[in-house]
Amino acid sequence: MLTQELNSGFLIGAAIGSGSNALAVERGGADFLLAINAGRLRNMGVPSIASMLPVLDADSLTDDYAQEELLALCKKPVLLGVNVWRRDFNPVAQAETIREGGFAGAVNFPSCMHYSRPMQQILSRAGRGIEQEVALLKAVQDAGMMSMFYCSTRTQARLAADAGLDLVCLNIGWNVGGALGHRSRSTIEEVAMEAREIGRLIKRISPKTRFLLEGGPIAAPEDLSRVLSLAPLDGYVGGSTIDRLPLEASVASMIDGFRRASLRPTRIDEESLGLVNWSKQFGIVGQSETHLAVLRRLQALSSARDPVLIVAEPGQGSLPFVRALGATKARSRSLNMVQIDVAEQDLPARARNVLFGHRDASNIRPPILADPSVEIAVIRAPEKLTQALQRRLARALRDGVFRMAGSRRSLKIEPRIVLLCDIHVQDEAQVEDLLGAGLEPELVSYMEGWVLRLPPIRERISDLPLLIDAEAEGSQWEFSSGALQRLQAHDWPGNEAELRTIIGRLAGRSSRLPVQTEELEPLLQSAPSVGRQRKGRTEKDLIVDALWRNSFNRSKAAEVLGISRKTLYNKIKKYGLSG
Amino acid sequence: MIELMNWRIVLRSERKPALTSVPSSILTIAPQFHHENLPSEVGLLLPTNSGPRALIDTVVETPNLCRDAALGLFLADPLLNLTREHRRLSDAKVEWVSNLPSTEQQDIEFSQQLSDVGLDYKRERDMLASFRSAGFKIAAVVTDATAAAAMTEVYPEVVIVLPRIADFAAGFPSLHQRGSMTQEIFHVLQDAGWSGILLCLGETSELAHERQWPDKVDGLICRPELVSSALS
Repeated sequence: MLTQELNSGFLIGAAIGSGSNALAVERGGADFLLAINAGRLRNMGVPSIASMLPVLDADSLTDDYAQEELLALCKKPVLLGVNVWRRDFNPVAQAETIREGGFAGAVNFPSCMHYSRPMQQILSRAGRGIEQEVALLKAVQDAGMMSMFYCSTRTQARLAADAGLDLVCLNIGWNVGGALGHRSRSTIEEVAMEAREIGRLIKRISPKTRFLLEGGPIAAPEDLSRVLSLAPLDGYVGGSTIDRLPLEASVASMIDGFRRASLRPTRIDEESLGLVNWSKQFGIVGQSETHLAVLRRLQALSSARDPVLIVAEPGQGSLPFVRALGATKARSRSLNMVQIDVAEQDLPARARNVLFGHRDASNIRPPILADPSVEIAVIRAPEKLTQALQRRLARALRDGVFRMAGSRRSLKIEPRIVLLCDIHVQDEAQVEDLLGAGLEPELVSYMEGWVLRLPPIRERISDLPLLIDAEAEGSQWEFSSGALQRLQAHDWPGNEAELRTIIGRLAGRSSRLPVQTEELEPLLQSAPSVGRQRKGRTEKDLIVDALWRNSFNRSKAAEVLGISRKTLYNKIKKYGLSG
Repeated sequence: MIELMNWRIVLRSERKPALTSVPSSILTIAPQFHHENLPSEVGLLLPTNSGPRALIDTVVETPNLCRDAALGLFLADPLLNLTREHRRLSDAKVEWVSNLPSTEQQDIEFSQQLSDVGLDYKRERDMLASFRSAGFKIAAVVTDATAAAAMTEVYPEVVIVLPRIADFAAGFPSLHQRGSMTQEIFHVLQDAGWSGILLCLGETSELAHERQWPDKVDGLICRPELVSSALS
């Protein structure tokens, strides 16, 4: 017989296997507890399905902890898991034992319903099948207690409804999810359809019987919510979902927390801390040894006015470093910085005019190199300037003055010049790499000593947690320690841009649990690498590049490209480059 | 109180002289619940039965029980501490071990669910391999060709072919049915290069009709019978 509390509202039953879990679910608001061997076995670290195997005698296993832990500690009703495979089957006597034990009632577990159909048939023929389980629970109810019947089919549900049992719980299979979870055999929608049909059947036969659901693909409250949108239920019974899965997740999360604490960058000295704090104002993140070395150099360079060549790999965020170089000038106000991206200029003459000016335009606006209002002029991808233009730039930087095209007047270089190259450069072979990337020897020679190489993520991997924090600021999730270790093992060919892509893809995740390695793996494989993108330049890009580098001398460009002049002409025509 | 059962092994007359080292029987626990309509082979799989540890405890206490017999243990038991049990069984002079009862006996649908969590024949095979490396002789229980092929990896001295639960649904499976099953498994074992002793389940009444036994078997393992005295 159900108590008044259990006769209304949405019920939550908890099939747990220890006193500590029982207290937790009681505090959490569960309406009733189930003492079944599956719960106990889960507590012992074993999958629930072992409760159907000859591992430990189900009766003594269940009785012991139910009596000594659950009944001793809990106030909520406890239903004892009972089966019909004892030597003697006497429902009335068994019900009396349950009542004397102090239980609120019983539940058929372990049950025939978990077995295959042939096994169920054999047990029925031996007089110990599902019919006897119903009879036992009926005897429990007749003795003034409550009963819950686990069923897995319509026929079994009908038996329970015919007997007028208090609670019928449709078990839709062993739970998915977690380290010991089963493979999903049905979708939430399929489960909901089955529950709706069986629920209706039960209510039609026995309107007072309360209908509950357990197991299968329901691994989280959201899953139950989806079922409830399609099927009316009076309650839910959780086993693995109430003890094993939350335990796995919370323990893993706590261990993660401790592990992450150890992964945090170690304390740094006062001088380094000052440096890090100085760099933070420009949006620079990191405090690894490699990074600190760059910051020291950056701070020193920021107090000079000389041109600087910043070399960074594709995907690295170099603008914060440029801002830091203008720190002295813009101490109390915003920095007036102008950027010219040579790679985006479609004609070399345009880059030349922007930088060095042209007599036709000099009355409208001074060339950037001579504009006194510009504090920092950033020239991105200078290696894409024509060779002549690079040489001209090198001479202008060396002399501090230049002549505007079509004019005899010398103009003083006003802004601080920062050249930005997105190329792979090894520390030990810097000059060769710069020349190989297309920079003119004269320009490289002039900039030597004023090169600031930004270390890619893989060279300062201990900064990764800080970079993640900065990138994912405000996010509701975090990485598990395993996932963090996986990220630290990654090569990061796309650097900060790649990290930003991954964090962006994680932004919409539904789970509140830390991001696990398995979730990360496809993202790491699919994240576009800026480096790779650059490698995949189009034929048009290559032709434009070759023409620029060779001052639009088509014979030289064709030679560099390894094609005939005629083919180059055709391609120029095809891509509309002849204008 | 724990009850025990004996699965007698009877070899073909012409094979007996050559196979003197084969155990005379396999000793297992007895199912808690007996009924004429519940075959013991099936009843042994119910969760109301004690697990392998109870049987090992019994054998350790009374070593004579297992003299000349193999010990049948439910090796899919995830709580089995093998290192400890190897030592205890060696001390009790147990020489032969078998995965009996076996998860293999379960029907395919249930077996698949056991496989999801690693409680299947692969686990039993690994347990047997561990016993093998500890110096025990192995009698491997199989019910189909896949498991038989897998079991050859542990080089069992004896392979025992048992019917699945479903085969008992219409009563004890006929000799013909058991013979076909054994024949199929024999070919798989042969292909894998295995050359041990092949047994199939039989009834006591079939012992006298050796000519009717399936062609490829070296003997029968008889349906289990209760060991006369209950142990307390």
